[in-house]
Amino acid sequence: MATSSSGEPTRVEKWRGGASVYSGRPDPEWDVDQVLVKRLLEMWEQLEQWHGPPPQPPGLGYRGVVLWSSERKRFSAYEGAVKLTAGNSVLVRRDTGRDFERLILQSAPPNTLPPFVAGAL
Amino acid sequence: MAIRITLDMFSGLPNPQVVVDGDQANEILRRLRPDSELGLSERLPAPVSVLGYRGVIIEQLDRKVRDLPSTFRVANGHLIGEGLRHSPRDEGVEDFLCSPTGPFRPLQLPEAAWIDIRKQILSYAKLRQEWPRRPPRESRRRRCECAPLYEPAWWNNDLNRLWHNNCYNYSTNYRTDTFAQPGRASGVTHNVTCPTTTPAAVADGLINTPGPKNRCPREGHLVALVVYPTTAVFRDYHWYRKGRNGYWTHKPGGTPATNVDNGGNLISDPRTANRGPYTIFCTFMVVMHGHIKLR
Repeated sequence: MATSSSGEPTRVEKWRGGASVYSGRPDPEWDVDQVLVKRLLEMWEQLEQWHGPPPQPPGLGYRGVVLWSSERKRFSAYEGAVKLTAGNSVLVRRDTGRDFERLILQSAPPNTLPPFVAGAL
Repeated sequence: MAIRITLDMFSGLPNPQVVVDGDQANEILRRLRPDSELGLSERLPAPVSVLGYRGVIIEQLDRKVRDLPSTFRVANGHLIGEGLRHSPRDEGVEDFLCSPTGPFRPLQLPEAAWIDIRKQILSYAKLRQEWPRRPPRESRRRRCECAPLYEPAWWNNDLNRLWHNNCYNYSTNYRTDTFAQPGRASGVTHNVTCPTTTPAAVADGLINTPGPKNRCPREGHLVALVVYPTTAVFRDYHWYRKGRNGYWTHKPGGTPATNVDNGGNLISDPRTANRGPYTIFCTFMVVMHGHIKLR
């Protein structure tokens, strides 16, 4: 995701993934490779708009995944809804098979996610 | 003559909204003018803090017509606003406003959206019938006069505060913006078990009080520690606090503070609340305000 303009250095947008799972300790985070990010961004473009209020996660336990970039874009996905927050803009789209969410979860390194996440999808 | 029409239905997203003027605005207002007054049994409360469709809001932006206030709502076939307890002159005006051929046509919402809106309108009609005539009241609980108030907006509406203060910050009512950990301010470590996390919190100044049986302390406020019991690398803890109205509230990690448990119920006792995977109840502790230090 390089951006460049004449006379300026190339910047690579870096992406991190995470899961909202804990309460006391910080949530797990990990680097997400550019190939997967590209796939996710392409997937996002194909998703249909979500209508109505998105599903609300419970307080404790698995509450969805996040993917955020060094350019302050943030995706959060939970139970079939993906929300993109970029600046003041918020878009929510339908992730019917939870594929977007699953791909981010599966990108977590081994032994990163607590056991109760296994039953979440 | 211009009016702003808002389809009041969303929670997180902005509501669909259009401004119409001229003949179109005049025609809509004509159809909305109050006709017969509602009977006593029809004067139902109009719940507005509900999820989903809540009616269509009309705002008269310049010259106001007689008989209609500057801002009012049409919902479930009734006009609701200052001085209004009437049916509109045209019974079908709400259906028109909420149709693909109505004033929202320029937004080009997909057909699926209109189908969804129709379903929500029917749900709202049912909700309005069932809505209690008086607001539900929490059952009387003994007040904890020294406990903090439940003020979720303060914790939730600022992203920095929301994301960087966890259950431990919230339960002790002590903001650090560091995602505070028990014992960190005092140099005491723990491995996320009841026998180790409890003394770590004591090192921060909390008072271990295992036997208060959910009663308000005379000074300070009550908190409760629970643990998610699993292999060490994944273990986690969670804290609740007892508030001034006697109910418990909590803030799971960097997510919003809430007064309900995982089952959506008010929390009268964290020992019996739905705690998801945090199945181990450790202890109650007392927080004396000004006597603790977190980091």
